[in-house]
Amino acid sequence: MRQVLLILFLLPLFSVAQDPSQSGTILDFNASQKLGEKWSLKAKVQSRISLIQSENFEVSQGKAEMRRLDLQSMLQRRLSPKRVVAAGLMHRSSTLSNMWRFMQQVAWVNESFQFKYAQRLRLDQSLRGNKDWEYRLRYRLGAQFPLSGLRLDAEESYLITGVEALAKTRNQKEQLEARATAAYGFLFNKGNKGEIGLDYRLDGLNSPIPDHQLWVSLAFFLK
Amino acid sequence: MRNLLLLLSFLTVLAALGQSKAEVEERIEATDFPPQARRFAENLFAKEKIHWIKEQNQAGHSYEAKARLSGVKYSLEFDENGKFEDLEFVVKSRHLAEAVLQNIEQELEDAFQRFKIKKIQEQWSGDQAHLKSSMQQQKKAAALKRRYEVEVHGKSKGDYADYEYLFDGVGNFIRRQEIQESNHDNFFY
Repeated sequence: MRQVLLILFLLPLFSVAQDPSQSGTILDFNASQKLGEKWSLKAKVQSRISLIQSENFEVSQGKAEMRRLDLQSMLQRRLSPKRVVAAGLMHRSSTLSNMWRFMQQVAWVNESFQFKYAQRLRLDQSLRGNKDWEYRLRYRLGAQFPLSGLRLDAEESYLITGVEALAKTRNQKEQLEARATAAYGFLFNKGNKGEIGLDYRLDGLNSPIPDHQLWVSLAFFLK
Repeated sequence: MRNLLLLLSFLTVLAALGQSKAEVEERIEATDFPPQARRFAENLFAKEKIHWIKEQNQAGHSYEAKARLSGVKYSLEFDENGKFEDLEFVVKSRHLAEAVLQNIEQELEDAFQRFKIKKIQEQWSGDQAHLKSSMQQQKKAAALKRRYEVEVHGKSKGDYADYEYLFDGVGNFIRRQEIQESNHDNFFY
């Protein structure tokens, strides 16, 4: 029954994500190191491998190509057991150009009787080559549902889903983007997690031709 | 399509792994709760909404009835036969007797370089008849046994972790276990 629910949970993403202009795999590796009672350092390596992409209305398929490699580091301070602030830096190597991004965020998690939900508000500023700065404001709402009982324990699986709205501006041009994610996760011992799922992105919501992207994501979160 | 098949394969493997769990709590219907335990819970929480829970572990199973009364969250624990075990509710440290809190803090000071008490739950066990009157008067009857379950964030041997302690009614240590701290990085990053 759980597996049926899972399939039903993921299928809507396929239906809304028809004819993506980009598709492929996002591999995400996260590690955390405590620096004291309240401080910790978060490191992330993320690579994006394109399998389908359309440029100038020409679609190429089947050629796996690593389009991006992101290296990210953030310093987090815990304000309370369920509330954190963080700031950090990301460097992106891509086939087009490299980019630096500065990030600041506040995030908090709440628990209801049967699931957890979390919110994240993030500001970032990006500098790519000789282009002007890009500023983004992002808000993400996510929820995690245990698949075995009411509480997620070690060696149990869960579903996690999220929606995110992004507003960005560069050179006085504003753009809107929406994202939706759904993944199946597994909690290993000591709080380590693994997730596999789908990541759908709709960029240029306010432009005549929005850009659809659909990614299969594989992520690990190690403590 | 290949990605979809790959994804479904991974999901099947993970789903299979997900079956090998040590402890499962599930919400159940009131009708599936042991009758005498249900009557007891409904008598205590006559007007409140009650969540009925069954917890399965390697040793067997137990039952829990959760409800909120006058702003306080209560949890009634029963064994697999529906026999009452204890009542739990959250209390502030300032509501503990000074000597009890001193004993608890002394134990924690000995165990940790630094610590912070995250939550204290008071447990009452004993005769059911005394329980109701104690809840109504918000004062424990002498016939009931009191214990404290304390969640602590502490630094020991240079590393921080969360622990669950159990103390008796005067703050003497009974046992402790480390809590598998949940990782929220998948929400935050």
